[in-house]
Amino acid sequence: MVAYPPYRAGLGAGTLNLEMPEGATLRDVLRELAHRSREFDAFAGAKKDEWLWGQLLVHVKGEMVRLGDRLNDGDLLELLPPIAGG
Amino acid sequence: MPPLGYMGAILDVDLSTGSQRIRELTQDMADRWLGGTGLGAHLLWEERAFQADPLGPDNVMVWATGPFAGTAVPLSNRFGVCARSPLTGVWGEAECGGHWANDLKKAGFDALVLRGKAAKPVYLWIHDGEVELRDATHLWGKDTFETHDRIREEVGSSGRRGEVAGVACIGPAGERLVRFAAIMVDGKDGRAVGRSGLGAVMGSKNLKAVAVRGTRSVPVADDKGLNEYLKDLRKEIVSTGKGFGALGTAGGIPTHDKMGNWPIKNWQQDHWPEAPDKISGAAMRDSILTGRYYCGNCIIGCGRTVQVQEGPYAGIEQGGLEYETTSLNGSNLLIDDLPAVQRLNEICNRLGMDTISAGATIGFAMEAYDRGLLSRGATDGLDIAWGNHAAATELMQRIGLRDGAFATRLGEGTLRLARDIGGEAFAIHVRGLDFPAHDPRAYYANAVAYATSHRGADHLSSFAHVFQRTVSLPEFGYEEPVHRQDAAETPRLVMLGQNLMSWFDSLKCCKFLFFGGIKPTHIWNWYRFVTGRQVSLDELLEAGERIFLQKRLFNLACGSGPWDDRMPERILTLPRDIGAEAPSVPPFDDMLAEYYRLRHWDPETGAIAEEVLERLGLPEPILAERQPVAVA
Repeated sequence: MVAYPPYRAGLGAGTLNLEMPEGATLRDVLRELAHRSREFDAFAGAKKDEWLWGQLLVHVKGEMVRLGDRLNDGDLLELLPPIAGG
Repeated sequence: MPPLGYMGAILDVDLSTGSQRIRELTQDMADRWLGGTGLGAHLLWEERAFQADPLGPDNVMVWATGPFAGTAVPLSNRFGVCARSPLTGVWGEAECGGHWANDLKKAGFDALVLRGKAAKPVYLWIHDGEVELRDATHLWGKDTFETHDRIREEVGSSGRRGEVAGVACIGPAGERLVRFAAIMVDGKDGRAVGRSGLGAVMGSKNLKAVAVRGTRSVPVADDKGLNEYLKDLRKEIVSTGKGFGALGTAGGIPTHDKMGNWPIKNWQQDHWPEAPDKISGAAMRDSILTGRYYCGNCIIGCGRTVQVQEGPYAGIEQGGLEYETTSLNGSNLLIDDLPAVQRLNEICNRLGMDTISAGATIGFAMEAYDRGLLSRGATDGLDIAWGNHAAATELMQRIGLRDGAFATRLGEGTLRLARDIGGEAFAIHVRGLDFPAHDPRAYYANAVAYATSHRGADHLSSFAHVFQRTVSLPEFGYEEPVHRQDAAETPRLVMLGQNLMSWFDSLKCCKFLFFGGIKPTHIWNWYRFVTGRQVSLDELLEAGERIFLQKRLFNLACGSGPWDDRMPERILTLPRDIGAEAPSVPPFDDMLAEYYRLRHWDPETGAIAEEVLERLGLPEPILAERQPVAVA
């Protein structure tokens, strides 16, 4: 996992390796991250994807991941700020 | 009795004679054209403004609010301005928030029609039904920060909420007819009627400012019902828009870089991974941010207030960078010095220029310099190498003041400059309007949307890239956002987005509501509460289609049609890494052909099918001979 600003403040700028059980979803990952950084508390409790996308985008290979999407071993997750406006 | 949601009055001022008249805004006009530039499209067609010299006294400007201004609807303190554009020679329009629209409406007017040319500089002062043209000779030459504050003093604002005048004014760039001059609102907070050079239209009329103050009530059909309906929605907007408000529109820059969306080196470079740490919303928060700015009745607060405290770009506390400005004046120029980018923003705001076109024009000039089309002598001695922020800030100042031969040429805009010195292949525009900071290679929607937008390259007239990103439209069959490279679905999505945004913008509320979880159904309900009209969502969408096509008719009458519905060569021939599996170019021709088919447009002449015109009650088209853009 790689975090981008503003999430580096809580997770650091380097690559972060997460051990997750098989079949883990993005929601599971966010719960795990909430143990490491409090800013992820609210994200872990997200009920809707569109709400989450207003706060945080998670990409794998340039594609957005949804809360219920299962992740695969070796996936590189990118934690990015929401894009809005302009 | 005026239509509910409206004051029922359009103020028409002839600046040549000083005469004023009040025209009725009828129920039929309100129903068919809604407000904003929708109403403007109707009025400018009646005026035959497509025949006007954009900088002549015969050009007509319409400034208009919508039914939501002055009501409880959040994020609705907005207005639109339209006229024939001096930058492009075709339909020109721009929108603005800040604190102005509600006061115009509460002063008794839904819209202004401004025509003619004053013999000497004047400003218009409108307050509770009273209209005065005041001398502005002493303000001519002043920047927008000072003009705003002085006019507020002169009209006697007390400073208490509700008694402060809204001031929309031009700076020296508008006075000196820089073709991408803006109209600025809220002084140093820097809200802009940015695009299309409408500040130059004001300048050509010797009109320095329009100040407004009003205390009247806007008639609402069901105020209680509206407030009840909004109670929970406000919480939803605040909650969903929280991440957006926290970092502002520039907060997403790391994502834009990953997705190959923001402009780098005049749209030549795929990514610039070092830059987001230096010039994103998070970087701003950690360095120069002093607070958040909210437009009138906004509850998201994406605006920034900043102050550079030290170094060569130290200055006063003022409006900070948003995404478009940061991109066009930062990454586009390979400048990653945040205070320098903020200074470019400040110069544009003070002198009154569109930060998008201003940054884009300098970016084009930097590339021309890099390629040897411009010598150091031709730039009046400036070394405009990529990333040279000292030269860029000096050049920006000169452009706004039309100071020197080179800056004067840049003040004509990218396309005219390209025709002058060569390099049209890397003039990144549609219809003479520079690209905003969203790459059609990253979001295919913007290829079709930019090409068919009336004012030129415009991400806002369809907002379809957002519907290809994070926002669904379940009312229209899109339960999920459309994939950004879904070429098959893009034409329909763009058409829908254009019709949708045409009514949404005409009602006048902020698009960022979509980032607060608001859907078209909510807006439709607000409309029914405010106006009392029990129309269907489809009927509103049809009003949007009418408005969109009325503007298209304006362009056809200007001689701009399918031949201008194009993408710049670079976007179609230089694949960009957008973080997907393969570098991307949009399959533009196929998407455009399908779009034309859906619209029932003739791909050769641009003619709109008669049954469409008839269904929407649109006027007989005037198909003018083909005219090059950016000439009139």
